[in-house]
Amino acid sequence: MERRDFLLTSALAVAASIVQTSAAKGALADPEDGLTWQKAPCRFCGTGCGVMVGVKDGRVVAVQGDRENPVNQGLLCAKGYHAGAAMYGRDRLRYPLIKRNGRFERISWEEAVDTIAHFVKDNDKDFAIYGSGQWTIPEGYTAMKFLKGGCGSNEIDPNARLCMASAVTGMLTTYGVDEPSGCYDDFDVTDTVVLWGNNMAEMHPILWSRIVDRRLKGEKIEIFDLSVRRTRTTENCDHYIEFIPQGDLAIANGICHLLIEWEKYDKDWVKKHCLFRQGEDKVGKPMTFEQYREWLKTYTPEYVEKVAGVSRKKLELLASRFADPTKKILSFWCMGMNQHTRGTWINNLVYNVHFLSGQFGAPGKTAFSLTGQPSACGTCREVGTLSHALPGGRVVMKEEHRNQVEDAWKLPRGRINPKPGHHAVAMFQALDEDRLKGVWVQVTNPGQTMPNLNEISHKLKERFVVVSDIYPTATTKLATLVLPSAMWVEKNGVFGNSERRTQQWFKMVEAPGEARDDVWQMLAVAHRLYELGYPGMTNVDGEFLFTFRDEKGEIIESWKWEVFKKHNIDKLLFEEYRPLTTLKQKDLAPYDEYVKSRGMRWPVVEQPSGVWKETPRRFVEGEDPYVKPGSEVDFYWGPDEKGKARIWARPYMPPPEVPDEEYPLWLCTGRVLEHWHTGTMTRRVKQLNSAMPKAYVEINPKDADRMGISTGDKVKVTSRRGELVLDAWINGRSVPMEGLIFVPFFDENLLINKVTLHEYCAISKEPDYKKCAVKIEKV
Amino acid sequence: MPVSAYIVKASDGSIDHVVAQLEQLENARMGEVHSHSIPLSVYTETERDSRDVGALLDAMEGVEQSVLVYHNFEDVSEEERMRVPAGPLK
Repeated sequence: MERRDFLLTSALAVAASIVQTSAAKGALADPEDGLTWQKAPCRFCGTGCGVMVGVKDGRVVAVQGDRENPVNQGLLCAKGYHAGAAMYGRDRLRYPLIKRNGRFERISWEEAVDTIAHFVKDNDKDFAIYGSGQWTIPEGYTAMKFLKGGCGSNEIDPNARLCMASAVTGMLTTYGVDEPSGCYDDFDVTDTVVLWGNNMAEMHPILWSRIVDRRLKGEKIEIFDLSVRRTRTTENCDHYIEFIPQGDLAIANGICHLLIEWEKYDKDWVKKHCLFRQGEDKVGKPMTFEQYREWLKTYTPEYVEKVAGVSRKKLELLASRFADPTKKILSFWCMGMNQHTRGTWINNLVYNVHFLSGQFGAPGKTAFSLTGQPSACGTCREVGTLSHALPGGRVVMKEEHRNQVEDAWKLPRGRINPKPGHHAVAMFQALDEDRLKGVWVQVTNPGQTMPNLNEISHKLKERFVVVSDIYPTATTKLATLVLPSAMWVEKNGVFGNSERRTQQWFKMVEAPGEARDDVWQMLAVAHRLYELGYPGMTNVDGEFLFTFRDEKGEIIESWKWEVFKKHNIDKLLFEEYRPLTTLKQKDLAPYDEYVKSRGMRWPVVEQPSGVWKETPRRFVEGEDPYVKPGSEVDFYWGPDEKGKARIWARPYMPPPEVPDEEYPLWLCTGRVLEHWHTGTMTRRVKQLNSAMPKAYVEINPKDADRMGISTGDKVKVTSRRGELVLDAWINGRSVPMEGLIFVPFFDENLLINKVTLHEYCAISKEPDYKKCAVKIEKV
Repeated sequence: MPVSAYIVKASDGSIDHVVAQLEQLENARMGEVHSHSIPLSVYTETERDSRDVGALLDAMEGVEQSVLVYHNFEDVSEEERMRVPAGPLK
């Protein structure tokens, strides 16, 4: 048989085994195909799909969905299938580069490490690290310990600030601890789905197919799409509820108003599990239910229609579902709701709706914040790489928390700085204004993603900017030093996904050229600082801050690349980090348990039998081991009273910039199916790039008609901050509401963030990329 | 010579029509139909052709959804490896 025929047969067997569930487990492509197959979580979004990676002759050559992984049950989206191909673009960064006289020159790793170490030594409090929700857990942990434990500075923040910070503060202010209660199992039992500005079909296609597939099997699921544009998701929805940007605040309050007016709220659930609070900040002040009822009276259907543009009929339709106790309702959201100048508030308000209706803490009933990056949860939120955070839900502002972490890291008292560092947007402002002197960017591309790029990027070239990445990007152009990094299965890793599932993988192939792991890069600089006598890199025992020992008790010289490669330093870092996770009931299992499994959802607690048991649903009796018996649902980190969550009175407020005579349209930005965020990886995959080669501007057909614009016409988009010329797309993949345009941000040649607004949620500090005022003209 | 496998999902009452259309595809093999799902493997000369097959499946009458479930690109040539025009460092 020719190899082509063989592969066709083998590929068909894979597809057949997925459609026949009885054959689903363990059936990989034919073992005679000459490939070795290993598991890994997908490199891209926060869904955390399991991927089987096929390696031949030291190269990834095939990818298939992992049928043993409960997240995706054998399916992957277009990006996932090309995660392997994304490693092999022709312009992979292979050698360290330094910019001299305006040109990049190749240098040795020794010189690169030495250069960074000297800069940090001289500027330790003015040096920042800007990281990522694509950092593995060990990578984020290393960077955070380097800066917070080693340099006594909190100038570290991840790009996750740009996508899910509002979800974090939403949960913290609602039930006192970060991350969702529900899990993907809820998708299989819910009967009503409400999408709050969430285009799941393109952004979380595997999760979406899990829902849509139930319909194909004949199950009845009603889906509501609340949005500002009709998308591929809308095609499969029963109800499209279009609203004026920022109107989501009024819609959520309007539903709560109706539930109470109709006396259809779940009185027992609310009495047992909730307290009421009002205010605009994260603390607020208590209020009674009666005061809350009175406060809600503003949010009549008439008021909601006025500010959100949603008719009484549609609002009542949606509210009636929450009023029906026989329903099982699941709400989803992602950046559409989080990238919001009132991002924390709208998160609070969606929980309100679910709490008042008792749609929380039972199978198929929950409010679920999805994440956009593969380890925004695992690395940024759990490890604590945000500027105020420490591992295990600790914060730098509290002495007790600092002491706990200092003890774990064998640091002298007072090493961890009590003052939070700059959040992401402020960090780049500080760099712009020379209040920070340098930054090390790992696994992200702020030169393309920060809002209002015109304002914050022009001075970056004058600072000391280190960029660790796999390909040239908009950010490497601004760099002083460029470090080539290993990608995905070129290194060991651990990710934590949207449903609290922690997943591990092993290195499978070598990185090209001299590209090296981000963990090693950080350890090498830390040790060079130690050699230079920098006191922060020494612990109280007088040893290097990152001292690891082998089974014989000998120190592993992990800062030496040849030594690093021979050891699983990821495992050592993970085991050092793991005890801290128990401090706020986010318990992780030992590393080896993740090697054996397709991930586990925390808290993971060891049973008397020695088995490590995961928790599908948090706060739910019978599932979460920390729930008080008899409580059914126990918000055990309740911010005001143990066991109880908050229902917040958060008002509708208009956004800081609204369309006017000069700038009459809304601009909304976002992602597309084919590209991963800024396209650094996916634009190197021919299939994906040819499917979506260039950014565009979607215009409502009525607006386009009025302005004489047709598909393909050049259109200039102008805001008060910048302008950009794009091709128009009318009635294309999506159709924005009248008066709103949409532009994706993946295209490095067409940087829409030169146009976006530099405003963010006052609590989460997450910028609002979803609404600002622009004008357009045909050029 | 990329080789891809898909699960093609037919809408209610369309399974026979979808199967008939899939039988016309060149360089493809179809597996046993299961409920509304049809396993399919296809080889193409280039990555671009492979993408076009995916688009073709999605556009077929009666197809609710096509899902790529396997992709082998071991023979993809150097010419097909991408360099993004805007990318190289300057």
